[in-house]
Amino acid sequence: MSLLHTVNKSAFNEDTLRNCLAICQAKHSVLLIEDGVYGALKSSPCRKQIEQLSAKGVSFFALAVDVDARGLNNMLVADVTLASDQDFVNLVVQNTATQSWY
Amino acid sequence: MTETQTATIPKKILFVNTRAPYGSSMARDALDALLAASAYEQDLSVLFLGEAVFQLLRNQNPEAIGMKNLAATLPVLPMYDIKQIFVQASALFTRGLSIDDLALPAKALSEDEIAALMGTQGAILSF
Repeated sequence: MSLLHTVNKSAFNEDTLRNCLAICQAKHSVLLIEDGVYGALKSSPCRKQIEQLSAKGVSFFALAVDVDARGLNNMLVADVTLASDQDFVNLVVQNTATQSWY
Repeated sequence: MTETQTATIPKKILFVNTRAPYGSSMARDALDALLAASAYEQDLSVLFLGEAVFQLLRNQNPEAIGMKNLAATLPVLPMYDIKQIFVQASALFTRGLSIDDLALPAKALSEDEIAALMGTQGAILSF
């Protein structure tokens, strides 16, 4: 079963992303939105977990408008792909369900 | 000392920012309050703690999410006579940032220095 997780809290001051990653499995997708995009920074406390899960088949995305808004272009880990608003819609449609972490 | 004389002594007021820029309106609220307060000729300082150091990053482009660009407004602070701008050094370090990544000149402080700064204030407003 494919599942989309959205996370909208920063990984630096909340456990939201950590809690999400703890239940992520292969074929799941994680989309970081709003302050959630800080979790994709190279300095993120969840960086190692993101890289390990990515190697196991979890897909990671960060909403491009939120990354650009916060001035974080070129500061994200390589395993996280930028997603357009249209990509966001496609992810929702392609997955069986969406779990929103907030 | 008369009341009139007391009123003319500038009050030391510290504005403490604790939130990242666009997830809530707190960063914008703090900036609006700070600019409003600058009209009253008090002794103002501003401090960026924890997540708030993200407010100072260069190259912010929040127009696509319908927000005003904070990093474009913050550099006007020195023109409003707000020249004491501080950041928490450990908060920068934790986030892989340095003073050079910031959109305006700020002084990095240790936790002890922050405690000392807070101790000298007449009022502290936290956002």
